Amino acid sequence: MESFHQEALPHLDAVYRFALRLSGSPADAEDLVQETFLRAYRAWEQYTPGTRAKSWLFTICRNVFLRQRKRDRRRDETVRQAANEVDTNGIQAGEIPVFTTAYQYDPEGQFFASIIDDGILQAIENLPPDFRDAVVLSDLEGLAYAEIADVLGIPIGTVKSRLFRGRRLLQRQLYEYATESGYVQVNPQ
Amino acid sequence: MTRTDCLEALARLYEFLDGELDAADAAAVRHHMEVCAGCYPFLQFCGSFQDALHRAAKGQPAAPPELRQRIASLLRNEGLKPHNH
Ligand SMILES: [Zn+2]
Repeated sequence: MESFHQEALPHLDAVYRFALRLSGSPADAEDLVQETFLRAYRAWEQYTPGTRAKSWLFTICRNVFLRQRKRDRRRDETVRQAANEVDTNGIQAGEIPVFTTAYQYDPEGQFFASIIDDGILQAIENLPPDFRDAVVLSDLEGLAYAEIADVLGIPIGTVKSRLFRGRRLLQRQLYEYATESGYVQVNPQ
Repeated sequence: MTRTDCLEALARLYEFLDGELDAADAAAVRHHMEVCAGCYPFLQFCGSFQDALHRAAKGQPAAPPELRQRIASLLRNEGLKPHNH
């Protein structure tokens, strides 16, 4: 089980953050992470070496979370409802990938560099959950689109459109944050 | 540069930046971005945006140390159990 310690355990921090977002409480997140690593350890023979252990652990974590939720009928319905609100619209022709106001103000996007880590992380947490999850898994945890699709149980096309729109929305929040904090000076013409 | 070229390149910009396009598609987007004055700034803007996110990713909170210890001992105990499957 040496390989488990080398390949799975380094992702403990990432799995903890993922569990925290799913469960919303540190205590529940710790239980969830514990259960995730126990299951992963028992199923380690089914893991294909060289594939990404991180997204495999995220998938187990989400499954454990959803199964626990099933015991609670009402919460389960909320989860299923959210899962059914699948964003079926692809990216529309002519849809712009950026928040236009910010782009016009600073086409090189230099103001992003002036925003502190906590400002960026907080803005991500404030995104609508569907967008937040896609952005977190891609931009913060470095998962590929196919891995994100597996972890969240959604089609790849939906991953693409959530990233496209979630990032644009995030740019808007970061621009507003930068304006409020004085990093960006908007001069009235 | 036709409008369609630009629309296509912009629609795939994030896929390009995320390394999700195959070699031929990535080359097409890169080529368009390099020669199109209208599209190139979008690449720069989104690149700066993602750089900032990747930098912030390193500042994310870690798991509590007690949790790490608890899982380590949990796995030790689990490893001592006889295999029953
Ligand atoms: Zn163009």
